[in-house]
Amino acid sequence: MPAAMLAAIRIWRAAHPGIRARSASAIYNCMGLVFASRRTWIETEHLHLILREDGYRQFTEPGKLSVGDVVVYKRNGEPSHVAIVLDVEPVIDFRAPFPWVITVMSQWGGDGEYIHRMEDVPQVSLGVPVEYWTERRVV
Amino acid sequence: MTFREAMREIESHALAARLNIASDMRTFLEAAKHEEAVARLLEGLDAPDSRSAVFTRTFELSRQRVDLRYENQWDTALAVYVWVMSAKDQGIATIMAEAVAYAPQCWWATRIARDVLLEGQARSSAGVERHDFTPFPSVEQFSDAGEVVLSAGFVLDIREALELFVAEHDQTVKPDVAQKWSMTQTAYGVGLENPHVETIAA
Repeated sequence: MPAAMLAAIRIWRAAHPGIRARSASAIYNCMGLVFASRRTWIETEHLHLILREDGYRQFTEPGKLSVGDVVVYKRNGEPSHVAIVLDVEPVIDFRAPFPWVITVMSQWGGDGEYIHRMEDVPQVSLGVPVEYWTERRVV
Repeated sequence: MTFREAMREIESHALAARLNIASDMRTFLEAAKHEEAVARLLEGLDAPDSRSAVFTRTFELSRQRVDLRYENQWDTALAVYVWVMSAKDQGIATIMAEAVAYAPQCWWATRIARDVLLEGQARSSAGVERHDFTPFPSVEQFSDAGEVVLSAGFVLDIREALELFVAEHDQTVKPDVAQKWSMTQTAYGVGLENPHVETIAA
């Protein structure tokens, strides 16, 4: 593996200790992981066209997320990142502001693929999770 | 931060990681704008010696051998160099973009090079608006073998630009770089007698 890729993984692990590196490739970006079987880069500007044409439906409650659903992140009001849901665990503490632990998998640009908590991303570049989409027939 | 330190930082793994995380060009360029080293580079390019250093380094990096299984480790650095130069000197940036467009396994650099080359076409001195913008504007056709055939007119523009650059920076451009550039053009099928090797080496 090239030194640059190793360095990227080391840098992001240091900044986000909870993440787990899954794969070191820059052949695809987050959109390519979710919508193109890890084969290519797709610009985030095409996100909503793809969601619409592929029959995805949006919902607002993160608690309704299920394995395989898509989380859309935004930065300055524009889509900046997407992730696939791997796991949704309820938090037993009812005082918790966000009563679920949502684990996702996403490709961080050209810096590799990671498994991480939904909100645990470099927000300056990837933004924050704001939309939830599914292609399931029943939500 | 000195200009040399800025170049070292731009070629560092740390900066590559910070920029490479972007999922789209808009985010990539915004992140680049906020890097101190990029701001320093832009500021420093007012000096001819600095332009020459970036020009030469771009050619060196674009010809590095890379592991074809992975992204070119100089992708972000090449992208930043061409992008910043395009803000200072479109002519030099166009020459750099022509070299960078053929650097293997690049994503950001290839796209920025393409944009710079398209911009050059849009500014054609003939004053004729072109509507046949293709990803590689200088490409006239692809052979059955996938070989790219370049537009002679475009290459002549590049040649003129390179000659102008060399005339202005005769003392600072390394002859071997110019020779490599000429060889690159030939390797990609320009098929023209290119006097640059002798002219520039002399």
